[in-house]
Formats: sequence, structure tokens, C-alpha cells
Amino acid sequence: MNHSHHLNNSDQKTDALRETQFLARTQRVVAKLKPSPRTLNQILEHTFVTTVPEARLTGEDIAQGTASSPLSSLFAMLSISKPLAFAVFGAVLVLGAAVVMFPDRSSRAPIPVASSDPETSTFREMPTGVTSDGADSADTPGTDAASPTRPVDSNAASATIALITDDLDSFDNDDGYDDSLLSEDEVDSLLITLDSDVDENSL
Amino acid sequence: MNATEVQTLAKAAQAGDRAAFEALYTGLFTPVYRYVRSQIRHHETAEDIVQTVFSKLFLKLQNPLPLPQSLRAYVYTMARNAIADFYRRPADLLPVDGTVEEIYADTAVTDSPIRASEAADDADHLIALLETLEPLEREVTGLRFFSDLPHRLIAETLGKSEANVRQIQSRALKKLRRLAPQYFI
Repeated sequence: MNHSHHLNNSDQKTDALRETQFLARTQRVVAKLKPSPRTLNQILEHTFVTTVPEARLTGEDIAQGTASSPLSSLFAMLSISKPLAFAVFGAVLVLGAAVVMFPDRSSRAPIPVASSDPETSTFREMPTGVTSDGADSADTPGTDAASPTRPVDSNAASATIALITDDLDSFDNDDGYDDSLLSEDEVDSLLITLDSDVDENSL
Repeated sequence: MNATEVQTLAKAAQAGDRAAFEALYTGLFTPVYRYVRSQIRHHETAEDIVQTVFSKLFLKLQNPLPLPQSLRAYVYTMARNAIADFYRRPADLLPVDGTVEEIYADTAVTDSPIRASEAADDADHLIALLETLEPLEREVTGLRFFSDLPHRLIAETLGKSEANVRQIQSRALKKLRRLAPQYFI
């Protein structure tokens, strides 16, 4: 018992001696370890820039203890002002509504109609908006046939021109202009003009 | 800076006293840096880690919740966690300062008393020497000899008993004495 107690005391003394020696020897080296001076402001700047994004966005708000809204944070993150963000949002909304209310008719599938030439094919495609009898089914007649982006069928164009001519024949407005006064040449030149318009547009 | 001073300053900082936080920062930055440096050889990385610790401490003191019993132990625990996070990074992101063997071979010359004495004055040599210890031994040695913390506080920081800390330190010193007797003259 006394022997083990003596050994423990001896170990403790040795440990204490080692500790003192090592501490004394390393103190001088450790004292050389000095961090480069960083001011508190640098630390706080680092804190707000890297740790708290809201504080970077609205530092004054945080300082006053008022929390900013998530939407404001989003605008600030995107670096855009509130009025501009609302204007863009409004424009997108109006465009979306316009697309829903006036769908693009070009997206409709073409209407298969019987071919005039039974040897070539059973069906052929008519231009969009023109029905099988050659009449334009759209509210604004002729716009589709004249569209430069769509292929123009010569038969359909002729049918349209024929309809316009019929309209001209029956046209009698209040300004005293009588279409019956048009000579055959004048009507022909008018048809040529319309025809050439159609051709130009088809290019 | 003793434990009572640290607690008093922390309470004042929590109440919004910026000067108190500044005093806390000034008093703790260097010892915490020395501890971090004992675990990480790269000087700039060690500084960045200490900066992160104080950033977290600042945010902690913005919270009105009760402070930890020992804020000093709490700060060292934060530093310890930050070091662990650092070593969890992919190897290619860790700074390269040469291997322990390279530094140790360059400075530890035991057959020449003069050079051995010079090496003992070299911080890089001392830090490289600590890298030969087990992780826990290295932590205890860093906290005790680099930050000059008492055993009770080290025990609190590491979540161990004071007797256990003394045992770990004794084991570490025995190893160091064998490797570098010039430190035990």
C-alpha cells in the first residue's frame, strides 16, 4: 500500500516536472505565434457578408430590429427594384392572359379535303383557315391566305379572289361610286393586282 | 483574461454593448488562435478558422438565450468543431505545407546540440512534432501548452474528466520526450 502510494507520488512528480520543463521550453516558441491584426470591424463584416444574407441585403433593417420580407430579399438578391419587378410581372400576366384568350390558330391541325385530282392523292392539305369550298372560315377574311409564313394554294387563292370579285359586284356604297361602271379591263387589272399581291406574299 | 471576466463581458455584449464584445475579442483571439495553430500548420487557414469562431460567437450573443456556464470553454469547443470541419474537407482543398516528416527531418537534428536547440525555438518544428501524437493527445497538448488553459477547462472543452485529461497529457509528454528531448532540459 505504502509502496504503491510512493510510486504514484513519484509518477506525479515526474509528470509535473515534465510539464514544467515542456511549458518553459515551449512558451518562448508559442509566444511567437501571433495572428495578424484583424479589427473587430473586419470580423463583423465577414459575419454579415458570409453568414447572414439578410443582413447584407438590408443591414439597416437588421440594426433596427425590423425583419425584411422574403419578397424584398428576393428583389434585393436579383438586384432589381420593386416597381421594375412588378412591371415585369404585370407584363407577363397580360401576355399570358392574351395567349389564353386569343389562341394561335396556326396550331390547329390541317383539314384534309378531297383532291381535285383523284390520280395523285386522295387527300390534300388546304391552307389553314380555308374551308373545303374555298371560303375563308376566319373572322378576318383573307388574312390567312395572305400570310407570308404559310404556303398558298393557287386554287384556294383563285376561289378567294372570286369571292372578292363577287363582293365588288354587289358593292354599292353611299359615296355614289357605282362598281357597275368598272369596265372589264379595269376588273381584270384589279384581279391581276390582287393576284400579284397574293403571289408576292406567297414568296 | 479569467473566466469571470469573460462571463461578465459576454453578458454585457449580449445586452448590446459593442465595446464589451470588442474586449472579449481582443482578450480571446490570440489564445484561441494559438490553439488552432497547434492543430493546423497553415497560418492563414488558422486565422480564418478563428475569425469564423468569433463570427459565430457574435451571432450567439445576439440571441437573448442564457449563456453557457463557461463561455471560454464554449469558445474553445467552437474552435475544436471548426477544426474538425476543416479536416473533413476534401484533401485537394487542404493547404499543402510539406509533410510532417519533411519539416521534422529539416529541423530535428538530435546529434547536434546547437541545431537541436535552434529547432526547439522553431514553431513549425514544434507543431510538426505535435502531429506525431494521437488526435486527443494533440488537442490536450495544444490547449494546455499553446493556449495555457487549466486542466479543468480543458476537461470541460473536451467533455472528459480532469483526471482523464491529466493522463492523456502525461502520455503525450512521455512520447514527446522520447522524440524531442531538447524540449525537456
